[in-house]
Amino acid sequence: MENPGELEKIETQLDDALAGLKAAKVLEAEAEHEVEEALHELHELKAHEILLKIATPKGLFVGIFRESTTVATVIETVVEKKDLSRKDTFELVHGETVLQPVSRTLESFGLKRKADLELVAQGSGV
Amino acid sequence: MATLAELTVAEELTALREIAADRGWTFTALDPLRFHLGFPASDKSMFYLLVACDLYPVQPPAWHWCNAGATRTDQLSDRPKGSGFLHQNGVICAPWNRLAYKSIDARGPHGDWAIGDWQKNSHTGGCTSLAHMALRIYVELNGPRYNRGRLG
Repeated sequence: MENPGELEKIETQLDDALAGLKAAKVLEAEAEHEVEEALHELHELKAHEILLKIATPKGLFVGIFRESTTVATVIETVVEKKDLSRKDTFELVHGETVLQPVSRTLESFGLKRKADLELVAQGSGV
Repeated sequence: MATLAELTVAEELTALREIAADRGWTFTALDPLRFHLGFPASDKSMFYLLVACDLYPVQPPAWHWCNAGATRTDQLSDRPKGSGFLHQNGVICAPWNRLAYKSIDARGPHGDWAIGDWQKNSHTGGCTSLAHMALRIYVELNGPRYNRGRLG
């Protein structure tokens, strides 16, 4: 580049563009989340259905399941919808309770109507 | 020009911000490579972390326990009392925490891990993104390895 000033200007513009992209991504995620929540609030839960809001490594997942759904099915659904790695083994956590064994149903853990859960990989600590 | 670390952190923080906003965790980006995060433990007390991501993802981030204002790090009064993952040395014991390596931090429990292999370490599991690491810490602070209290 013959003109160092021009190079600096282009770098600044690139930095600004990247910062703008980052901000836009955040806003997009927030907007998606708000729409998703609003839709689910509008949806009237049927008998024996449960609204799950799950914090995942790729952000929030919100979905409605039957209370008789197994934990394994919930994990499988979230892994697929959030495009998480199928090579990892995940566990669902509710407060102090790890929802295991995964063959048990949501209602067998006392979960009803609405619950906040976390999805984390097994063995990701010592 | 943004570095690989800055771009990776910016991308991964999107998920973490979303979770933090939903769960009422505190989250503040201090600069492109550092952020401050706070969440409640099972006894409702708040714990905070100052996370330094320079060289990430080549090296794992450094998860420092800190105070609410991010003005001091690694004080006993800011560290949870626990076992295993919540190591009694006052560092998070996981391959995805830079402070767990003795070669980096004298408190690091592990001289047997190679920091460059952190993503391949079997103890890392699938915990290879910032949101995932934060979720794991939150789960541990609300699980049986947290002994409800602070080291000092």
